[in-house]
Amino acid sequence: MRKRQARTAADVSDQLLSELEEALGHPQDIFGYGRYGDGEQWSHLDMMTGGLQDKTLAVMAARPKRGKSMLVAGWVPLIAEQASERGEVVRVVTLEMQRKSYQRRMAAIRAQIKDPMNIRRGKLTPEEVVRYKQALMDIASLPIQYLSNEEDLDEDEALQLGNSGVTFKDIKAFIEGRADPDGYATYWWVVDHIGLISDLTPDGNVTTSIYSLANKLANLAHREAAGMVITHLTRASTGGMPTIESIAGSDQVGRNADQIFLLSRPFMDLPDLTEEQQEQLKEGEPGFLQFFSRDEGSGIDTLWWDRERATFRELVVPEGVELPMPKKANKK
Amino acid sequence: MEEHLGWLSPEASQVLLALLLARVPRTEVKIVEFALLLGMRRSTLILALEELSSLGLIESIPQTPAIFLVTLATSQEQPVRISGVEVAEEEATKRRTEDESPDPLTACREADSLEDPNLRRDRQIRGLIMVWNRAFPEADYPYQRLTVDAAKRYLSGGKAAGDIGAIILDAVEHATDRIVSPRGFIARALANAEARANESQSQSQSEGAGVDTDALWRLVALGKEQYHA
Repeated sequence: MRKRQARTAADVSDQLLSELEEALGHPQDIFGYGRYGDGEQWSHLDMMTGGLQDKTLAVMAARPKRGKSMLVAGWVPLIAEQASERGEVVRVVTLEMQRKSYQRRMAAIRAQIKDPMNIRRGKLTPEEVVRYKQALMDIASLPIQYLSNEEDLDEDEALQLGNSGVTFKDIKAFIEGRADPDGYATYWWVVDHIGLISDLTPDGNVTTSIYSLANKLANLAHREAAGMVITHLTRASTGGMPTIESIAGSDQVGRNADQIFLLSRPFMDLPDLTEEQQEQLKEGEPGFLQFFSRDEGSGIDTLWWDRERATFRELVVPEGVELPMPKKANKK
Repeated sequence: MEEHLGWLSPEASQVLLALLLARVPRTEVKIVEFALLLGMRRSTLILALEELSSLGLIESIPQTPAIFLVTLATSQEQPVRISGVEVAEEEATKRRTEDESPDPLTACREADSLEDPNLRRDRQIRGLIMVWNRAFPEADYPYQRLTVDAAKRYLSGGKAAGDIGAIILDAVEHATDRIVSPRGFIARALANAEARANESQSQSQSEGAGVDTDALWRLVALGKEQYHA
């Protein structure tokens, strides 16, 4: 059993003074150990969050089919580039998709493929073929490791609790690098998504199990390396933004997080769009990434869901443009 | 009261004695402070209060997680014996050893549908006690029976016995380990169910509130502009 060392206020003040000296010596907006983006892409997100924060657990939550995995998959290569500079790796636990599907998705995002389905259809344009191959080679050179399900799950299967062969024990060993013969340390990790970890069973006490699992993952992040857990929101505020309460109340995962990201695409919840309106959304639609943190405050990043490329990017919202925030629900 | 004393755990006896020595029939117990005074853990104190409450020796109602309103059941004042309900409790007590009711939930739901409020409450309490006996058989939990007062608290705010009963049976069915403290376990299950119901209500309210769609469409225009740039 690991021993817990008592730390005095004097010890902690020493640490905080060192942190201050370090910050004063290198003043910067991105005070984390890394970024989600590359300085150009996801710059607002990095400003809002201060970048990747050491030894923290972040939770990415959204209702099913909002594009959580796509959003995070777009960040992975950018984070892996930074991991490479430190001689560390990004570890991806993908339980909904096989590693091949996950990497195809990352490469399609990186190559800006207009319709990613065309990759398997063999219908990419010659330019796209060049870009896709280049993206695959770029990703090949990045320190990314996978622990994955052996087959892709369909939409219904992905919603069944514990429906993967991967246990928390497997994930822990993977993130601790015990399965890596070269023993590289983890720079950042992601679990997509927590509901599929096979320790959960639909007939058990789900709340207790998921709470315990979230606790273990938080401990792993605090001890080993910062990471992100993706989870479904089951009771988000349809028609508006999800709330922290909707994640905490629905599955306990949010209670253990140091940071919470809530992704929403309000048009998906608007009923009865006319054909004309649907036509206007053919190219894409806005989305919102709300951010809440224990230490770094909160904020909102306005996104554009590029429907053709099935990817997100940040929208630059000029000052004075009103964001469509939902009215607050009255609490009983 | 004496007939219960042989059943009490030492901690519950200690708490009861302290409450009696305070000579205040009704008091707000600050859990942290009281536990400190008694030299016991907070969780032990809460379990002891539950035990005393389940035996009808006190009535203990949590006001907040840290403050419980405790009323002593004195010899002059027996809150467990409330006329009109007494019969129900006695009958239910007799039935504790018999599993004569095939479906206590049906009994609860039938009780919910009664129009006469007194009869309805009487039958609801009876139904909940039947549910409790099904969930926590007396053979396994001899000292943790559902009292009439506790059943009334479950029904407070006009809650339906059928709903409460379903939550109790469901919680017990999904328990992975033996339930040590039925009252605490069920209190948590009911609180969780209430939180879920509130959340669901909040959800339907926000569906109504919706978002500012005009602003959303302006963002669509902005997005397209930047997309094509």
